[in-house]
Amino acid sequence: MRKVLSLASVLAIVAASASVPSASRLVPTAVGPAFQSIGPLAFGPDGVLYAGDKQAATVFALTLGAQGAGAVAGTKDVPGIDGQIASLLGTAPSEIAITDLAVHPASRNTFLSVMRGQGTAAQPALVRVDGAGALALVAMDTVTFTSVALPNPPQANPSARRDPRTQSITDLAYANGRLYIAGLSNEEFASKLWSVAYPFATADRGASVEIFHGNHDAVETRSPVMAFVPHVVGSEPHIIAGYTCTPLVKFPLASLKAGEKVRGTTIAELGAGNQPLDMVVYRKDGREFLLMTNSSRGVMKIPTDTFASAAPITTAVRGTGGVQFETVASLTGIEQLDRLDATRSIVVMRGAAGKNLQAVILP
Amino acid sequence: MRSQKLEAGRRSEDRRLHLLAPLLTATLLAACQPRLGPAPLDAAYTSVSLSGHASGPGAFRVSGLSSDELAALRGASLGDDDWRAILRVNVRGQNGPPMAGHYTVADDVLIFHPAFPPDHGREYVVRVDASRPPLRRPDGVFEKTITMPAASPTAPTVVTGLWPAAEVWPENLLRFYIHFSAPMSRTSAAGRVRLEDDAGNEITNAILPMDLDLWNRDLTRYTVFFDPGRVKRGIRPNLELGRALVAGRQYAIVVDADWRDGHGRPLQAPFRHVFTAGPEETRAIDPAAWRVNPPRAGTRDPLVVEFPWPLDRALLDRAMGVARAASEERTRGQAAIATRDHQWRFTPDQGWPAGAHDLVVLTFLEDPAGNAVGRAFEMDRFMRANAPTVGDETVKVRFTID
Repeated sequence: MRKVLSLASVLAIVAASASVPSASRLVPTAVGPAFQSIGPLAFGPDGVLYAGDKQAATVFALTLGAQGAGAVAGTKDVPGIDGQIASLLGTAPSEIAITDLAVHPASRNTFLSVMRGQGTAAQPALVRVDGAGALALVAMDTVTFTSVALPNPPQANPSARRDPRTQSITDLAYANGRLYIAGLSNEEFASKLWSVAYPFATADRGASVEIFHGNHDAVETRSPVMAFVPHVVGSEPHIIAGYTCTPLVKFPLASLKAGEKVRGTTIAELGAGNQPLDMVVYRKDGREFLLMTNSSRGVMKIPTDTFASAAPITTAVRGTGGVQFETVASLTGIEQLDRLDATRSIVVMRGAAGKNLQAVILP
Repeated sequence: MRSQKLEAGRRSEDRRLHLLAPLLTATLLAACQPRLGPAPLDAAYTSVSLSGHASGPGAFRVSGLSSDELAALRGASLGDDDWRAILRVNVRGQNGPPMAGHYTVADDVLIFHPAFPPDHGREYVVRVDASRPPLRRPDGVFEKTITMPAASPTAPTVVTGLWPAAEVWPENLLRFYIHFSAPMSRTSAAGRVRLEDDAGNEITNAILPMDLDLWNRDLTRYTVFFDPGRVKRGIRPNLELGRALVAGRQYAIVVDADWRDGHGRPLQAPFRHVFTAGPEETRAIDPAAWRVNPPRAGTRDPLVVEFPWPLDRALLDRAMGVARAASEERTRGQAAIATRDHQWRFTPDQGWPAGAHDLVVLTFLEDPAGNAVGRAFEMDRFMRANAPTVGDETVKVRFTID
C-alpha cells in the first residue's frame, strides 16, 4: 500500500497545509530501527518509507539513502517471489509472509515487507527488488529513522494487566504533511484512525478519531477501515476508505481532528463477505479511477469522477449500490498492490507454484 | 557496505588479537611450521558468532585457506557480488539468491554471518570458489552441505478453550477469543475458524472475513469477530441474511487443525466448542446497576463486583480499577474474573483503608455482544455515536469501606 497523492493533488493540498512543527520539537533521527514486526508500508513523495510495526504499535519513517535504489531502476517481474525471498533469507517459502509492498517514488524499485519464521520467533525483513529482478535485503543497521508510537491504550488498573492489548495496523498513507494510520485492536471493536504530522514531533503522539460510515439506515457497526487512499474529491482533500463487507466511504481530511467522532459519507456498497486489501488511484484515457483489491471479490475499478456528486447511501442497500464499479476479470489472486508507474501497477499475485511479483497494465 | 562490515569485523578481531597477543605469540612460535601447500577447504557452522554476541545468528566458517589467502582477502576491495562469488550459502534444493549476510576475515578462517539464523533441521549448502580473485586457486571449488540440528521436540499445540466459555452465547454475540496452549504462527483465523449448525453444516458469512493479526503479544490468544453487519438489526447484511445465530438452536465453533503453531506444525487436533444460542443481549452496560460488595477495612479481602450478565474478560482486565475517593491515584492490586465472567474480584496489594472509594470503569468496557458502558450495540446509531464521548472516559461507582 502506498497511498501518495498525485503531484498535482499534493500541490493543491500544500497550499492549505498546516504548519510544520518547529525543528526544536522534532523527534531526533537515529540509525538502525529495531522493528518487532513490519508492514504495512507507504512511501512519501520524498522517498521516506513509512513502515508500520503492529507488534510495537509504532510507525517508523525510514530514510533509505543509497539503499533506496538498486543497480537498475524500475521493477522486473519475479516469478516465485516468495521462494526467492525465502532463499535470500535462508528459509523455506512456507516460512515467509509478505505483509505489504510499496514502490519507491524515484527509483521505482519495489520494497516488500516480510516476516520470516513463525510464532514469537518471527523476524521482520525489508527486501528490495530492482529493475533487473535482483533481490536485496535492506540492511537496517545503516538506515536512519524517526518513529512515533501509537497512543497507549487506556488502563484502569496499571498493576493488573498481564496481557496488554495489541493494535493491528490495517493501512497507512501520507498526505499533506501528515501520516494517516488505520487500525483495529484485538479487544474493543472500534474503527480508529490516527493522524500524526511528519516530520514526527516529540509532543505529537498522533490524533485519534473514530470514523463512521453513515449508511445502513443511519445505524453504525463500528466496522474497521481495512484500506484507504488520500484523494482530492472536487477541490477538497479526502480519505477514501474501504471497510469490511464493503462500504466505500469518503471523509474530508479537514474533519479528522483529535478525539472527535467523524461521520463519513458512504458512496458505494461493494458487497458482503469481503475485505478490501489495497487501493491505488490512477488516470487512464483522461479519466481517473480507484483500483481496489479484495479478499473475495476480486479487483474493482471505480471511476472517481462521481465521488464528489455521488448521493450518500443512507438506507439499506441490497447487494451492491452507489458509485458504479466494474470487477476486472483478468486480475485474480492479487494479495498486494501498488502503482508502479503511470500505466502499470505492481502486484503480488498467487500463482500455480507460489506467488509472483508482476507488473500489470492498469485496466 | 560490505567492505565497511569487513573493516568493522576486522577491527573486532584485531582488538581481540591485541588482548590475546602474548598467548597467541607463544602458541604460534610453538606450532608454526612451514606450510607446504594450501590445506583442504572445510566449512562449519558455529552457533556463537565471532563478534562476541552469544545470542547472534552464528556464522559459517571456512577453514583451510592459507594465511596468504586470508591476507589477500583482507586487503582486497570486494563488492557484494565478489564476496558471494567466493563464498555463498544457499538453502539446499532452492533455486534462488544466496542467503543475505556479511563477511569477515579472522586470523585463520573466512566467515559468513547470515542476516538471519539458519532454521533448525534445514540443510544449507556452503559453496566456496577459491579460484576467484584474489585467491586464484586452480582447483578451488568446494561444496559442503551442513544440516542444522533439529529443534528439541515440544508437545503439540492445542486449543485450550474459548472465551466466553459458557454453553449459552447470546444470539447477537460479536466477539470471542480462542486460547492456545503455546504460541502460534502469526497467520489469521481466516479460513480456519467456522461456525457450524447442529447438522454440522457451515454457516457462511458469519465470521468477519478479516485476514488480520488479531493476536495477543505472545500469540496464544486470537480474537474472532462475528460480522457486525449481520449481528445488528436492520442493516443490509442483517436484512439479507439474518443473524448467524438464532436463539434456541445449537451450534459449534470449529477450529481447523491445519492452523500452524509457532513451530510451523498443525494443531494436534481440530477443536469444537458446542454452544446454544440464547436470547440477545441488547442492554448497555450500567455500572450503577452492579452489585458492589465492599471488603472490611484493614483486610486484603477482595472487593467483589457482580454483573447482571457476563462481560468481556479481556476488556475487564484493563477497564476496571479502584481509587480512593477524590484521588486520581489507582489502588494497586490484582484483579480476577470469576463465575463465568459475571464477577470481578480485586485484591489490593495493601490492606484496604477505611473510607470512600471509587470503582473506576473505563467506558470502552464491552460485553461479548459489543454493548459498551452507556452505549448498547443495537442502539449505536450514528446520532448517538456522534455524542461527545471518547473511548477513555471513565464512570465511577462510589462505595464505602468500613
